[in-house]
Amino acid sequence: MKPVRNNNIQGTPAEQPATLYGICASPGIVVGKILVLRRHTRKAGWYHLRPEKIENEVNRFLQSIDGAEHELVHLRSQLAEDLADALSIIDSHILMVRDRMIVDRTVKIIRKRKINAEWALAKALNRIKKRFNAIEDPYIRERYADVKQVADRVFGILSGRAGDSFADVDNQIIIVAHDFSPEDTLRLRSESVLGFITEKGGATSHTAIVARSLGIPAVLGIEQITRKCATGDTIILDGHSGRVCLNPTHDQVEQYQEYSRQYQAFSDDIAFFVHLMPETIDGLRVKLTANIETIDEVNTVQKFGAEGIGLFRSEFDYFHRQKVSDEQLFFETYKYLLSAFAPFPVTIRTLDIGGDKFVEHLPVSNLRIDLERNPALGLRSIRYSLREPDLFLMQLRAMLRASVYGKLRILFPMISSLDELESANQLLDSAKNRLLEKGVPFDPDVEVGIMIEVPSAVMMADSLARKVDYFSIGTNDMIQYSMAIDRGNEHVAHMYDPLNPAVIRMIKRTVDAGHARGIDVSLCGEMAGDVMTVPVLLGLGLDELSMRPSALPFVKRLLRCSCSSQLTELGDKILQCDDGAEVRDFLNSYLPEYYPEEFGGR
Amino acid sequence: MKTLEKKITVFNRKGVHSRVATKLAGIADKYNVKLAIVCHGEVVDCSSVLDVLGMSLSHGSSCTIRVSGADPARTISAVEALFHERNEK
Repeated sequence: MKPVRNNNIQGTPAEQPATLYGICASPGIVVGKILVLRRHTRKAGWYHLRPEKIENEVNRFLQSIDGAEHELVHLRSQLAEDLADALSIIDSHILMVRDRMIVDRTVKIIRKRKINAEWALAKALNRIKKRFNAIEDPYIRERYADVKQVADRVFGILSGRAGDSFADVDNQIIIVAHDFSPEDTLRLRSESVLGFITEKGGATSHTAIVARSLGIPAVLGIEQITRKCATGDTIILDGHSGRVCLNPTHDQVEQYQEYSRQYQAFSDDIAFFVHLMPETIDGLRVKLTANIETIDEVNTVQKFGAEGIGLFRSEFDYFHRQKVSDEQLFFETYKYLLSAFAPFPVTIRTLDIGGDKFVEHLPVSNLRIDLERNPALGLRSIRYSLREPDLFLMQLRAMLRASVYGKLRILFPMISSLDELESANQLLDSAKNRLLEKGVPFDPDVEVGIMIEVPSAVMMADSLARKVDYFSIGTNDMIQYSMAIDRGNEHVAHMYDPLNPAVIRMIKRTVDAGHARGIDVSLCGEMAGDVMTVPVLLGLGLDELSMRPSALPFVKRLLRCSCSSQLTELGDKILQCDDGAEVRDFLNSYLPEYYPEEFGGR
Repeated sequence: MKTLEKKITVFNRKGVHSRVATKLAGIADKYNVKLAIVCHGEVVDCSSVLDVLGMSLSHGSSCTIRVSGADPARTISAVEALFHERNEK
């Protein structure tokens, strides 16, 4: 391989930002300059040997095999034993290089056809390729890539190639190439290589396995990538999503650097907390669940150790469908989610649309002739669902049908009165009756809860608690409605304060009302994922916090070094504060004392 | 020198791929035996990883193991244990 300084062959404008998709081979996010590597095109010439030269040629070939084996053994000896996956791959390569299908056959071809070693090896390789192509099992068939990589090493020695080509790389770079062998990947294990991108290979290729065991982010299988970019271009490599951004904008780079920072922090020491119980030192359990929008997030959520889904915002799934109103599609999504998390609960919130959310997607109906003058206080969320009962019933049926696959919790958003809750429950009953009539099975004990986000619901929480199985506090809207502040309005946004005592007290009131009726109270706003507010929320007695998945390990660590009596004390003190600034002052002195690891360094 | 044969089912999740094939060669070496796989009327010696891969023994398929050497029974149980590892990567 050798670096190609300018391979922008077709003169494409390289400065255009472009997003390309490949296969996520190894997680991690990096931003950097790229180095494009191209393999030497080995135009192994054919030449006829004079009889007296034949044995020389055989020896030359056998020496190259020795050389290749020696390189592999040497490489293996440099690796720590903990890279078990990488080691077993090199072991198989060591056997392959000595395999009779390569060695014996090539020697035979040299002697019989009286041709040079390169040509003979190419012929032997062709035969192996044919044999592998006939293999039905795709995983075994793909192993031809390993044979090819081993043969390439021998070709390299035969052609007298120079040593390692990226040994002299000094800056931090992301390497782009057609393909890497696992050994190349192992050699890339240096401070200077941030990640790599290839045209060939998949998630199960040995190159991907080695990349994962080394912890180098990698995206594989992006067609034509070596032609689309040039050495020196900037690229963002996102190994989580299998995406690369070529020539990203400044904003994109900043965004990804933030992701990268979060990921790094997580993987460094937080990972340890993923499998531990979410409980305080003295054994108080608090459920830590995740907020998600699409089923693509399921793997991430499981990786971060969530005990189920505390909020599935079903409207995203709904609007990203091609065919909007299809009960079966709803059902498939819910079934997938419920099965993925069983026995943990999956909380599905019914469509939270209208207001300013998704207005442009809504079908044009008489209801929406004019844009509302005050959308936050208008026909949105559960109100919209109650005005479009066919859509609402369809979603409820899909949820109920899926309920047999796991533990479903239905969540009605933005309930502002008992009357609204009863209307929603009536529709739920008719959805159940419909399924009963048709003999479709569902879980008769599905839990039904409501979002508490409107001040009237807080005030009436004790009445509402009698009619539901749980409460879920939505702080984002609760703050907006209780303080009459639109966070999107620049003139008042600075007054939006989650730690305002009015908000704290509303949360407390809701928790107390729920507990008085023996129901669980969870909280699913942004506050639940903010390490500064989490101790306060725990002190207010919440039973469950639902947050963005990446916050889970941080919150769990905080929970695990808390003590329940101290938390209650903290909650009581915060409840006595007169304004948000006082709450903040108090926390600024309290948190570093009790959580030196998290807040001590400030 | 004794020869033993036994029919074995492949339980490995990804079939007999390179890691398993490599281990087969290792077993033959360790017990100093001649180890062959008989399948689809073909006989391949396990010293060739590529021949073994070429047999395309995927998950759930079965084949016959033929061992010639001083103590073939031990070799067979080692191969059986290898083919019964389900959850390896």
